[in-house]
Formats: sequence, structure tokens, C-alpha cells
Amino acid sequence: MMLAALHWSTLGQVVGVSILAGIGASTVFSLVILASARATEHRRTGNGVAALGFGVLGTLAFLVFAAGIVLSVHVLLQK
Amino acid sequence: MDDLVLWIVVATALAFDFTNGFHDTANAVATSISTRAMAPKLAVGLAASLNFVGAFLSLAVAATIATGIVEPDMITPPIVFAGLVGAIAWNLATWYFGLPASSSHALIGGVVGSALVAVGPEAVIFSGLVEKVIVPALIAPVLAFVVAGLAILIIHRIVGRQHPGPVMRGFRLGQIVSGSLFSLSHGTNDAQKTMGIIFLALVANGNLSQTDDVPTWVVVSAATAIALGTYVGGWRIIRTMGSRIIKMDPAQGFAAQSAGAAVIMSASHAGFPLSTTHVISGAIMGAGAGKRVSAVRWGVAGNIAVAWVLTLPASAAVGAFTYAVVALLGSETLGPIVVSAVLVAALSVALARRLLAGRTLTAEG
Repeated sequence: MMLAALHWSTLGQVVGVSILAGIGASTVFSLVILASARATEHRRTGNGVAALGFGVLGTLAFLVFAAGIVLSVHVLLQK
Repeated sequence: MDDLVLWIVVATALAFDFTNGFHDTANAVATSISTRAMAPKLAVGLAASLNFVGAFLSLAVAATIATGIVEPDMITPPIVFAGLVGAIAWNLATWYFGLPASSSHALIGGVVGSALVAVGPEAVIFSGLVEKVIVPALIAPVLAFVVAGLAILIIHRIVGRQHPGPVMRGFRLGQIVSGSLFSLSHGTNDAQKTMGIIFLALVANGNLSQTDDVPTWVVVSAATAIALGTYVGGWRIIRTMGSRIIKMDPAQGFAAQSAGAAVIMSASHAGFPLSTTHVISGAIMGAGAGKRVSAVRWGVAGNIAVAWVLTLPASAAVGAFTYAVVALLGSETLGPIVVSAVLVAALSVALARRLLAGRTLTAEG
């Protein structure tokens, strides 16, 4: 009865999206922190090009993270 | 239905809503408080505000709490009343022991128990119970555990060699965002259950028809009750989730919250009902085990798992007993009046004794 009651495709979708979204959010936010820390370090040591590179990486990662938050709120409002 | 009984059902539903907020505060704030991402008062204040706002954002799921689990045509206000009493009793019992358990499952258990006594097995859709309660209860913590475990491994891989100061500050900021998302999600989900129950009682009493909109006073009162409950905060459960399962650092707190939010959002999008409590508890254990398996206090985790297993039968037993007492009193009016009066008196005595002993309702000690 238990197996018959399950919607396997829905469950598969939930598992797949959860893993992707959970790992994705942690990865991009970690990149924001890494890039910000490294950009500060390079700025202090006068390495402007590397500081700029990490600054761009951090900004991009932050934008992706922010987009994820907006998408999450959108999902909440679509219920 | 007598108007007095209607207002008793409404008041009981709002009392359940309050315990729901109070019991589930920990889901959103425990990790943020534990890692000092936010001060406790600020954390519960933000969670309460977002729960209040969330209750207004989505009315689509109102009245769906027991859909597909009990036969709606067989459900009467006294059955709902007894179910609510079962759910409130289980919420208070698990709060007392500091155990996070699902308020939704407690409500479903209470209603199922009272329906079984009132009508019989034909009132319960057992396949729906398996699909909407038992299977999600097995999947939610395991999935959140795995996602949070993988998340913390990746976080350590990316920022593990950086200076701890900026990294910890960064993850604390991230926790404010992920905790806020949790609170908003809780408001859009859990306040709707109470709105649905009050709406059904109003329909049963002839005040509204099934096609009417949920009245504004119902939305405002449900939002206020859950926000007040959240603000009061079930500190015993916050302590269990924030520091007794694992000793958490901000990276683990962020991993647990972001993994939990990802699982809740994807399940919500797919229409697969998962308990926020089960998800965040599993995610906290995963964030601890991802760093070191022995970092998780498995004894505490075991106690929580036992509470989850007992939620449905225990709240069903209280719901069934309450309905039996209501039925013994012989009428649909007298039963809820007597039972609610006895419960209010008992809770007042317990509260007065606690206050006289110099303790507040939700203080840790």
C-alpha cells in the first residue's frame, strides 16, 4: 500500500531539485565569501588585477544567490 | 451548530495556531541564535513579523490540512474541536520535553483519532495518511540530512583555508537571509491550517458558503495568533535544536538552513507536503555529521525520532479520548463547553503555579 501511494516522479523531482538547490546555494554563497576575502587580501597587497577578478567573481556569485532568493519567494507566492 | 460552540472551535483553533507558532519558532531561529547570527529577541521578533506577513501572502492552501486524509462530509465541529485539543496537548507535551515535532502531523493525528471514535474507520482515508504523513515523515529528515551534509562538505572545500573571522561573519549574514525565508515559508503554510479550520466551522454553522472568500478577520486573527506564538518562542525547543543536537558554527548553521530551505521550497513547488520541523532537524544533523559523524549527539537525535514516531498515535489518542468525553456528555453543545472550560481551568492553574514559582511560560528552566 505504501509503495502504491507514492508518486515516484514527484518524489524524484523533489529529491533532485533539493540536492541541486541546496548544494547550489551553499556553493555560490561560499564563493561570495571566498571571493570577498581574497579580493580584500589582494587589494591590501597591491595586486589590483587579482582583486578585480575576485571582485567580479564575488559580485556574480552574489547575483546568482540573490536570484535564488527571489525565485524562492516566487515559489512561496505561487502556492 | 450553536454559535457558542462555533466560537469555542474558533478560539481552540487560534489556541492551536498560537502553540504552532510557539512550537515552531525554533525551526527558523534556533541555528541563527546558536551561532550568534542574531540576538535572541531580534531573531524571534523578525520570525514573528515574517510569519505575520507570510499569513497574508497566500490563501490558496486554506482548508486543505486534512483533505485526502479524512472524509470531509463526515467531519463535524466536535470532531474538529477534539482533534485540535489532541494537537494542542501534543504540542505542549513535546515543548515541555524540548522535542521538535510536527504541529501539522499532530493536528492530523488529533482529527484522525476523534474521527475514528466518532464515525469509525470509514471516516479515515488510510492511503492518504500514508501518502501525506507517513512517507513524507520518512523522506523529509533523510533528504535534508543528505543535502546539508553535502552542503557543509562543499563549504569546507571552498572556504576551509580562509581566515575564520570573515568566513564566520559572512555565514552569519547568510543565516539572516535563510532564516527569514524559513519564517516567511512557515507563515504561508501554517497559519493557513487555522484559517481553513475556522472557515470550515463557519461554513458548518451556516455563516458562510464553501464558495465564499476567507473573511479578513479570520486571516488577521490567524496571522496574529501564529505571530504572537512565534514571538513568545518555545525556548526549550530552540535550545535543543540550536545546541543540543550539535554544537554549531555559522557555516554549519548556514548549510542547515539553506539545505532545509531548498528542500522545503522544492517540495512546496511540487505539491509534496513536508514538515518544516522534520526538514530542519534532519538538516542540522546532516550539517553536524558532514563535518564529523561523532559531532551529532545521537541520543538527542534518537529522542527526537521517537517523538516523531509517537506524534500521530499520541495526538490521535488524545483526540479520541476528548471526543469520547464530548460524546459522553450527550450533546454537541454541552461537550465542547465543558471540555474547553476544564482545559482552560487546568492551563490557568499550571500557568499560575509556574508564575508563582518565578518562572515564565517559555523560560528554559
